[in-house]
Amino acid sequence: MIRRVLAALAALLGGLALFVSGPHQRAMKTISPLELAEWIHDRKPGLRIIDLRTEAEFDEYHVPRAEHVSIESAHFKASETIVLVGANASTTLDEPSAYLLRGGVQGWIDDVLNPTIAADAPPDARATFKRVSEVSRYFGGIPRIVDKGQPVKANTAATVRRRGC
Amino acid sequence: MTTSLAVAIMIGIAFGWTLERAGLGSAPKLAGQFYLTDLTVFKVMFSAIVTAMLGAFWLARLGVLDLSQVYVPETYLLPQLAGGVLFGAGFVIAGLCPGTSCVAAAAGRGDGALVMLGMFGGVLATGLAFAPLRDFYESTARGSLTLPDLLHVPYGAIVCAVVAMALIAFQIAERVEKRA
Amino acid sequence: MSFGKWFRGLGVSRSRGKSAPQAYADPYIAGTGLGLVLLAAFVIAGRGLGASGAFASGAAGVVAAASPARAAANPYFARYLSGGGPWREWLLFEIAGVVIGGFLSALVAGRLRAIIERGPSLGRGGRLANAFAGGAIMGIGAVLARGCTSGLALTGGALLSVGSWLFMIAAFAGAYLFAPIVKRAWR
Repeated sequence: MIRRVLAALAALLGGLALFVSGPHQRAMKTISPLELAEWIHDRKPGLRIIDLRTEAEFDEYHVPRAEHVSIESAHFKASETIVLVGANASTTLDEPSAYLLRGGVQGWIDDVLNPTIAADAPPDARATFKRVSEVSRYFGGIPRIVDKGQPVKANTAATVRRRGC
Repeated sequence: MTTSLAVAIMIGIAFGWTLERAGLGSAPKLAGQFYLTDLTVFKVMFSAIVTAMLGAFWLARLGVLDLSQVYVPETYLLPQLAGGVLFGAGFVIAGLCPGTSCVAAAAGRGDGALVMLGMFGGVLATGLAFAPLRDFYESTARGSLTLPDLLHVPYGAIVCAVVAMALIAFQIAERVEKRA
Repeated sequence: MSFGKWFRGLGVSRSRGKSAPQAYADPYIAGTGLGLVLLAAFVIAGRGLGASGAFASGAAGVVAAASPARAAANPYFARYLSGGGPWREWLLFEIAGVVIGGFLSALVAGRLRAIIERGPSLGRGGRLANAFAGGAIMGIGAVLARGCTSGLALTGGALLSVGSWLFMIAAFAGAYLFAPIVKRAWR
């Protein structure tokens, strides 16, 4: 009966799994500048931010708490969450909690230091912006409300990934 | 309403429908799991885990699903151990879990509604009293650690092992139920 | 029309066994179906199922409505305030779907019943008290563990997350350990 069919199918697929290489090399996970800002603001334990750009670029401006080391020379613990800033397309890091910062340092400057909202934005967008502004000011940023007519960059607030289930 | 939220409702409807179909909207039935009279909870849960696990593995292998884009619940060893034991105790007292309590309430069960209220109260109280819990809450973080990573064993090997364990466990469950 | 009359008009009976409801589905088949729903969530939404998170988001919303400053200052609730706010949380919409789906299935199966289900030796009041207390304890556990059976055991279990398997084992252990203590409630 159908239970046997299901069991046989499971056994077959499970058995075959043993002989097959796992899901292909995971592409790096990414996070947005606002998510990273929340992590720094909330003092997320084990957070390490690795800046992969040149020394000159690093000295000019870097994300707060970023380290200027190479991936090879840095030692990572399993409990750490690693965020790579200024990575290129081929950068990968095989750690359980490694992320690329979307938009790099410029994204940080745009989204965290200079967040904007339209003057006629709806209430729920304004509530979100309130939270974004708090975080922005924590980093010395300047949130701005811009009037219609001025070019407004759409703000993408943090995604729900870190909220769990 | 965005597409994402519309999708959430659709998935929820399928979820709730399936739970009720299996009888998991009835607290005495769920409680039977812990008196070894009715092992439906175990059978449904592990059939679901095996199905989704095999599905995810093979769809990823075939390139249809990008597993790196699927959120893997993070590991916090101590809080999840402690939280798990507490949750289990609450579960056997209430006879329903958060999801099934909604199904029970939807089917008219007053006890289901009270479990929902209790859940809400418990979460609210814990959130309000969060400050002293915070250090414990954040302790022993291991990120998105998976069993293959932990055991240094290929993903497929774990998949195979889980399927084998589940099939054996189902056989045992059938025997245990017959004796009850 | 009163709510009670409307509800009963849907085929709800006040006494048990008045009409013959459908039999429950085979647990293995239902479980496979549930696994396919979970898989669909992975593919379509890039995430799995959940339940306790909906309660957390709702609690955050209630605190924010009562005192926005307090909510923003609370490290647990604050994270639910960004990204569209606590009432546009994915899990809240999913749980709304769970309620609809559960209702529809019960309706079709003739299992809609406005009753309080309980063990044979427990009174209604005792059952409701247990339901509330058990729910509250689960709430504490779910906050600490960052999830419940839906989000951790099912979703994390299928994705082989270590913490989820740990939670699942701990939860079953906790339930079996506590079962003898509350035996009177169910047997």
